Amino acid sequence: MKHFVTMAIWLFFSLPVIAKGYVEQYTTQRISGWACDVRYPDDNVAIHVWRDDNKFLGGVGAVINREPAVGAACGGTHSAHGFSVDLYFGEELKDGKSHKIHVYLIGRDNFVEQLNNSPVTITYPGSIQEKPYWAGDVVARDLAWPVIGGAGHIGIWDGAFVIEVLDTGANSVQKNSYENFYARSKAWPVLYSPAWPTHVIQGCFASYCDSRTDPNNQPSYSAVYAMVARANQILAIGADYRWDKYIYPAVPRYYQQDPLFGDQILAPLRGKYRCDTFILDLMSATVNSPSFLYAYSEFAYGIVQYNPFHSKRLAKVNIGPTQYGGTGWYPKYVSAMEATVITPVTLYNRIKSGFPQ
Amino acid sequence: MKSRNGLIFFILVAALSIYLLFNSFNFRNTSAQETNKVTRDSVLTNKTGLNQPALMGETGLPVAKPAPDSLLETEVAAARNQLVTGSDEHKLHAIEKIEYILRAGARAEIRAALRGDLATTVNVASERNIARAALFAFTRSSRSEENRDVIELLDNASAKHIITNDDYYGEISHQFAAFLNREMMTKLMQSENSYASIVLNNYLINSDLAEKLNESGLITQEFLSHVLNSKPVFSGAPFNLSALEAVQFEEWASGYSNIYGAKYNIENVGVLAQMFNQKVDPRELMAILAGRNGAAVYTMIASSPGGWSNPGLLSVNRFLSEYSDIPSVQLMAQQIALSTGR
Repeated sequence: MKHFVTMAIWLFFSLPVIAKGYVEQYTTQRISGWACDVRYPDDNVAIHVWRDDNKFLGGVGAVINREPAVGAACGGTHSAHGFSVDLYFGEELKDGKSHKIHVYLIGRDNFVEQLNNSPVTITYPGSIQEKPYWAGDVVARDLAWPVIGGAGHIGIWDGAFVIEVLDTGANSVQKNSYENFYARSKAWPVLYSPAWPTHVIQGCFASYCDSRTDPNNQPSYSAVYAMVARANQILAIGADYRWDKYIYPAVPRYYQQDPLFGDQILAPLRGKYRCDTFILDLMSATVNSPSFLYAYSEFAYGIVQYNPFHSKRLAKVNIGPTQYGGTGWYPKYVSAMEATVITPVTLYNRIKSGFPQ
Repeated sequence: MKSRNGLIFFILVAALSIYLLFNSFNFRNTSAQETNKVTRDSVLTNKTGLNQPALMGETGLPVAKPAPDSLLETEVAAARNQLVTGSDEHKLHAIEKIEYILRAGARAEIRAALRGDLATTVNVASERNIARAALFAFTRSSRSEENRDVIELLDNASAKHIITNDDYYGEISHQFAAFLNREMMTKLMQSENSYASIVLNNYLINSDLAEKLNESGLITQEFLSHVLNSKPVFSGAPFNLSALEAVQFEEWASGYSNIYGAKYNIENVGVLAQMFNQKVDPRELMAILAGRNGAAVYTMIASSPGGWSNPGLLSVNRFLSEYSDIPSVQLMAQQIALSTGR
């Protein structure tokens, strides 16, 4: 990381500037300025405006005639590079917060770059609304069912979308916007930065995991990233909705040794989940590789952190109880498993309180 | 002496009987779902059937033991009966049991009968969820010689709206990856289904599969073009960084590099490194650096002449500094640092 940042600092300013343009005036409902692509200075470029929470606010062509100085700055034969964008200002945007507004120039060949003084900051009116922020944040709401709404519905934020399990009659693993998630029933407070572990897990997150290959030759993921990779693996293998408290994990394709019928390859086994058992399965990706799901007990007490390409090997980490020198994550994971005895609200409360044991 | 030998023989027979009885119960009470069911107790004690060495294969996954014929016949008869006369819940349970028996391995005539029952259920069940469950039990327990049956049943189910387009092409992807069937490959290439691509890429990241595809002569120009053209696109604003989309992009890139590398006998890392010489969305390159080949790609580029001015690395650095205040970008930066070891 340090390496990247250092490199970024000295290289950032040496990059060729292709876009030119400035935001000159801005309010919640309109933004104006000028922009051009210096590679093709006579082109009229497009302008796209985005809010920092992934809201598209509007777009327009930069075609308004401006003073000759603009044309000179672009280096072309005309100065019709001005723009004025009417910004979308829907009720859901009025969250009472200051937002960075990013203004992009769209040039030839899908060239995309921010204007020179973008982003600008605009404060929106309205009352503060909660939104997930960090990848790994836990979101929840009332269950959209009469009487048992308090049982709750739970999902996880991947930095841009909510990943959740829904009973839709199709693959139950879904990726939705948070507006979609919250529109369905009353939202609960977001659990920001839950106490997810910080260790690294090495595992197979494919639909085809052949254990006969070197298990060390697998990607190393941070715990939260591993949970997302497991979600993708379940999505790919396929999952159906099931209303009971057990996890029926999606299992990758594997070889089966069969004394009667000969060795055979078995297709991946579809998973069966409800919303909370899905989250618990994702958590299981932080204690063992999905290709060895629940098979080797020793995985529960130590994770090999090793990447064959690393210049330095990562040390093996003990995630067992703290009294035995571990990080304490495994007992917390077990504590979360207890939540399945009751409802999603129990899992939510356990995550909220840091997985009490 | 004789009586002592008799006693030893008796003890051995008794022990064997108890062992067989225990294992019979173990089989009787195990359906496909129950085999994989994980409870808090199982995690706490590691004493589920899953973790008993007698049930574990080389993979560490459950290996079904052959059951005595009489017991299996009883199980089969009960499941078949439930599938016809049971309640909806019983039918679902019977489907799970049949899937387990099929996956565990059964004699040809039993196998044919059970698969026939599943196919009939798909075609006649009035409840969509029962038909879906039967369909997936059928497809996921199939063998290469049954590919045509699978396609026909999927076509029927799709025509009756028992499954969605995603379900249909997703299943074709699974079957193609398992059996390398040309008809299925053609169907995949004719579809533009993005979910099918997610499934296919989730297989192609395994380089062994790419080698098998190449040995089978399936990596044609058309297939390469199909995979290349199904490149995932990051959604939302240019700074919007979904970790799920990053994982999916990385799997596409690694999968494509595996099949391209297998066909032309070149290192897949070289194929990935080439992507850094093109003008692309920096999020795509960050996803590659954060993934399984991140360190190798980074090392290859950085150690090449002019590596420090590689346009891809420059755009990644620029993105990381421009959007360093966005949480999902921070997660990605952390994962890149971890993956590349720098």
